[in-house]
Amino acid sequence: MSDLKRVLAAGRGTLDTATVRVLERNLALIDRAIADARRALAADPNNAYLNAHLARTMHQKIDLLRRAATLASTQS
Amino acid sequence: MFIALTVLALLLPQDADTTVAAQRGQRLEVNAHSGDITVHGWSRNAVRVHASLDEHARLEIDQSPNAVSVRSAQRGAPKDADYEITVPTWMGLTLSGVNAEIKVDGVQGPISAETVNGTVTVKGGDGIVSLRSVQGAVSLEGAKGRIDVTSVNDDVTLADVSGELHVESVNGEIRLERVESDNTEATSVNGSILYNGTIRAGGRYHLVTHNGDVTVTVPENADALVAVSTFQGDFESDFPVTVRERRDNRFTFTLGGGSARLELESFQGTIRLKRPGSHPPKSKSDE
Repeated sequence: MSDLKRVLAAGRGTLDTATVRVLERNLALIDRAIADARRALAADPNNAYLNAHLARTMHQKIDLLRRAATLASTQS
Repeated sequence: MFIALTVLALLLPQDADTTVAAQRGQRLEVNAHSGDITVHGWSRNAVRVHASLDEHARLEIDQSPNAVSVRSAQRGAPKDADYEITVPTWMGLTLSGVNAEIKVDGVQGPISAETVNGTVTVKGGDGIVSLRSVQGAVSLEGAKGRIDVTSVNDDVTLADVSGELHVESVNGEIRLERVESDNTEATSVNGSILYNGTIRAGGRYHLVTHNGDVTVTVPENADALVAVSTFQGDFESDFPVTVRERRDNRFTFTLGGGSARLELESFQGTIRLKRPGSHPPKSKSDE
């Protein structure tokens, strides 16, 4: 959650609390998926599917953070 | 040349209704902080704007060679404004809002529609079609071109669309019905994905979720190399498949000559192959 808070810091107060809650909830979903993939990879570090899945899920997190930052900046 | 037209709400304090001429090459641009944006297509080369505004707001329509821009102007914080706008069917649209529902029908130009809290419902669109919502379902029907549709927290539904598809949701289902595409990418984290459409020779179809099911309706004559990847999920098929290679939670098999590439991934959901006519899985909203 600290990632999102940092991203939103520049536009603090510009997004309504309901939107911030939705973004936080979805970020938490992605973080859980990342944790799942990391646990699986710890047991099988060379697994090509798991490595690709982790990378893709981390990209999804970056996309969501970027979206949150864009929303905060456009509504400020 | 830049023309600004201000329509003061003289008859009713909160309503304005005006029509301006439109020229080829112009897009419609609307930004509504709160309220609904509804756009219809018609055969006239004109833009009709009906707006329901706060009593202290006024409707402003700016025209340039590239755009017809519609907005409400008022002092202080943005107020609710509902727009019902009719445009030439060829006109491109750029629609945005915060707490706004967006509906479009009968327009065959490029469409960009984005809201934070609200649904986006579009029938039509040609060229680059980009629809986005953070908290609201997004649906698109009857569009063709390069299509990019995203909802963060809700479902995404595409029906009777053709072209290059890029579809995403974090916490919603993705349903792609009667799709004609040779390049489809659909990604969710916590939702299921349904694909019912063409699998073209040489095409690429990549359907990925972490915590949902992936269901693909495979035509009888499909010609594809299918790669299935799952960590803790299952695989089910309506028809027998012969696994060619199995490695690292992934196996592949070939249908026909294997010309298209169908990559199906779910970390912990079920991946299903169905035949046309079999019952699709129920969506969350059906239950």
